[in-house]
Formats: sequence, C-alpha cells, structure tokens
Amino acid sequence: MEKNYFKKLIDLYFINRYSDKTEKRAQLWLIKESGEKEKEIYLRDIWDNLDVKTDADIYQQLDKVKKRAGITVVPKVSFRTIIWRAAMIFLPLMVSATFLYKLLLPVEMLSFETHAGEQKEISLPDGTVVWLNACSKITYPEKFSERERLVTLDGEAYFAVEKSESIKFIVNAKDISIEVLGTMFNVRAYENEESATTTLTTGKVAVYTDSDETFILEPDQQLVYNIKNHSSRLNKVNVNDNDWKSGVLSFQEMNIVEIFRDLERRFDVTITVNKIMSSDKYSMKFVNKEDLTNILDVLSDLSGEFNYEVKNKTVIIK
Amino acid sequence: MDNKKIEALISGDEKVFEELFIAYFSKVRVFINGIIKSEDDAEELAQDIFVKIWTTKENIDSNKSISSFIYVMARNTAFNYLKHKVVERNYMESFDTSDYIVTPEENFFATEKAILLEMHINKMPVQRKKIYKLSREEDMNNGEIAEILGVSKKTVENQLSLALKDLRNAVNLFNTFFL
Repeated sequence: MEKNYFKKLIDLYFINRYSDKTEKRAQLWLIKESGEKEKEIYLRDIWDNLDVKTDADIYQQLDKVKKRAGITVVPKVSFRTIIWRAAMIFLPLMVSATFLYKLLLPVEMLSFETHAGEQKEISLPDGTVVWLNACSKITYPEKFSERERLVTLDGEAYFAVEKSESIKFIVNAKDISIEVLGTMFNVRAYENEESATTTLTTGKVAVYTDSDETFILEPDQQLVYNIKNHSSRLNKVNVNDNDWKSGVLSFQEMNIVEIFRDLERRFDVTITVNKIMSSDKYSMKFVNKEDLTNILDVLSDLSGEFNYEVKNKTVIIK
Repeated sequence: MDNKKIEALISGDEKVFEELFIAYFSKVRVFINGIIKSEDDAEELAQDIFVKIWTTKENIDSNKSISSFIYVMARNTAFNYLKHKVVERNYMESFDTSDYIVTPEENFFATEKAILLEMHINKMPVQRKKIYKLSREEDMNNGEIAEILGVSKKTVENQLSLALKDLRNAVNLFNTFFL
C-alpha cells in the first residue's frame, strides 16, 4: 500500500501542471535512482492507458521527420493518397473525440480536454452543465463530496451550475477561484494568457484572486484579473457579446498577436508572425460564424499592419 | 502491428514507417510532455525519436512488442532531458524536504509524501491555500487569519478543515503528523 505513493505522485504529476518549484521537485524525484522499479511500473501504466487523439498537424510532422531521416518526401499527392490519409486521421478521431484519461486514484478523477477547433458540452455528476471552449481542460471527481463541488479548469468554459442550498460549487482556475451556489457564468483562464476573466450571466458569484482580493459579481459584470501585475478591473459588459457557444467571436481590448493566438485555438491553425506587430488594442465582434480568411481580411484592413498567406493549416503573417 | 509489418519496416518499407508514425507520434508527444512539461521541447523530442527509429531500424526486434520499444525510447528521452536540465540549472537545493518536519520512524516515503502534499496545496482554491499557508507556515491562529483576510472565524475554520481533509486523503495517513 505504501508503494501507492509512487503511483499517486506519478499519476497526478503526469496530468496536471503545478508551480515551477513543485514541478522541479517532482522531476528530481522522478529521475532519482531509488524506487526505479516502481516508478517504471507506473509510468508504463500511463503509457498503456494513454488514449490520445491523432494531432491535426500529423502530416506536417511526418514530413519534417521524413526530411530529417533522409526519406524522400514526394511533393505531389494523388487523390487516393489524400483519401487514405483522411481516413487514417478521421478514424481515430471518431474513436476518441476528446482526450480522456481515467485516473486510477482512490477518488476517481475525470478529465476532459478539447483540442484546437473543438468545443464540447459536458454534464457533471451534480447536473451542472459545462461548455468547454477550444484548447481547454476540466478535471472533476467522479462523485462530488458532500461539502463542496470542486472542479479545476485550464482554459475557457461556460458553467450553468445546478442550484444547491448549501453545497458550494468552486471553479479553481489559474490564479483565481470562483465560488457559487447556483448560477451561470463564464471563466477564461488559459495557461498562456496574461489575464483570467470571469463574466457573470445570472445570479451571484464570488471571485477570489491570488492577491488577497474578493469580488462579488452582479449579472453583466466581468472581472479581469491581470496575472502579471496582480491588478483587477471590473467591467460592465453585455454577456451576449461573448457567446462563443453559439459561434460569436469577440475580442475585447486585445492586441493583434493576442487575437492571433485566439484564432489559432478557434480554427485549429498555426499562425506564424514574421514581423514586429504594434501592441495597439482592438475590440471587435464577429457574429455570423465568419471563416478565418474573412476575419484576417478585416484585421488586415483595420490595422493596416500586415498581409497574410494561408497554406493548409498554417497562416503566415508578413 | 504484427511482426510481418515490423520486418518490412526493418528492411526499409516507408509505408509501414508512415503507419507507425501516425499510430504513435501523438502519443509519444503527449507522454513526453507529461513528463517534461514543455510542449515545444516535447514536440522536438518526439520528432527525434522517430528519426532515430528510422535511422537505426536494424536494431528493432520484430519478435518484441513495438509499443514497448517506443515506450522505452520515449521514457529514456524524457528522462535524459530532465537529467540535463538538472545539471544545467543545478537546482538540487529545491530537493530538500526540510520544509516538512518528520520524525525518524515516519521517515519512510517522506519525500513522496512531501511532494504529494505540495502538489495538493498547489491545487487548492486560492482562498483555502492562503488560509492554510497562514495557519501552517506563519503559525497564525484562526482569529488572526480571519482579521487579516476580512472573513469570519467560521470561514477560516471551515476552510482549514477542508484543506486538512484534502491533504489527509492525499497521503492516506493513519495519523496526521505533519498537518
């Protein structure tokens, strides 16, 4: 039973991100010689149970590797090859639409992850419904405890929380946590973004930030917490402005490069920026499910800063 | 993949290599990233592995499982990466467990327990983490913490009890010596 510490540690470390200090500590432990055998068993378990969706850029990766390995890359692809390739990619896609782990921990933790270009609706054990935006991940226990309903979010999600008189629902996100009893709200806290944003649709929520502040939000209010300089700003918003679930794409006070990062997630493309862009901030909203080139055209006209070229899943900004 | 295919790969069949790549590349990338926690480096290391599979394909044993073969490469690659990082940054100092006081008979798995606790504290909701740290690291009593954070004493008590419960679950202990 004591060896279970090894398993727990490895499982938790593998699926989560922690502070730099904690990750380093766990990494040192991992490569330390003692307990090598046990660690090996549990790592192998992870490998055997890992169910991963084929990456959308798998053929770009393959071409890179072929080039480096000295295998000739045939530039022209026949129609048959395209069909065959498409079948190879889509088959695994259907088998595992999301990247789902079942951890073998005492309290079973479930984890759902979305890839770029993907959105997903999930029902939690208490009846709460969560819409997960692209490149996001939510972790929650298979069964909530009797004292609280705690979920962890990396990325963006909209929550419609099932009402409970006494059991709080807590969203633990990067540098903020949000507590409610039953309401609808949106949380956006991507690992690689500078701010964590909470937007309330109905009811009331309490937001706690890493810098000792507590905010009680009213409907149509939005709290933007800046992770870098630990400042908070309360905005009045129209919640329909950011209804990403129904295809609305809106940017609020974002510079061009930040908008590019968002488009990458939304459209599952890689945007390579080959020039220095200004940090001017823009606010805009696309409501009709415009495609990527329409949006890039608008951005290009508006900023007058760049031209672009689309090649397969890559956009080059010049 | 059956061993006929592996034999074809060993003798240089590019189609089989492509098949192997599509079946395993994403998995290798995710696995390495889970260990080294750097997406860019994980992508590069995963590429290295497949280049190596092709250039040293003669060393593959067609009677053994190809999944095991790729797993061993992925693990070794990720571990070597971490070992280099350790040498580079020489962060051995972050490896001491002195933050946690343990008595000798409880010293078994002390490192593992300490890291597990640290991970769980890391993932606590913001307010709970703060209350726990003020209580354990700053040695404050519940009244002091309530005053500093502007919350009721009851909230502090609740949050502490939830924090302790979480940590106890985390390490499955019969006693709670370091809580």
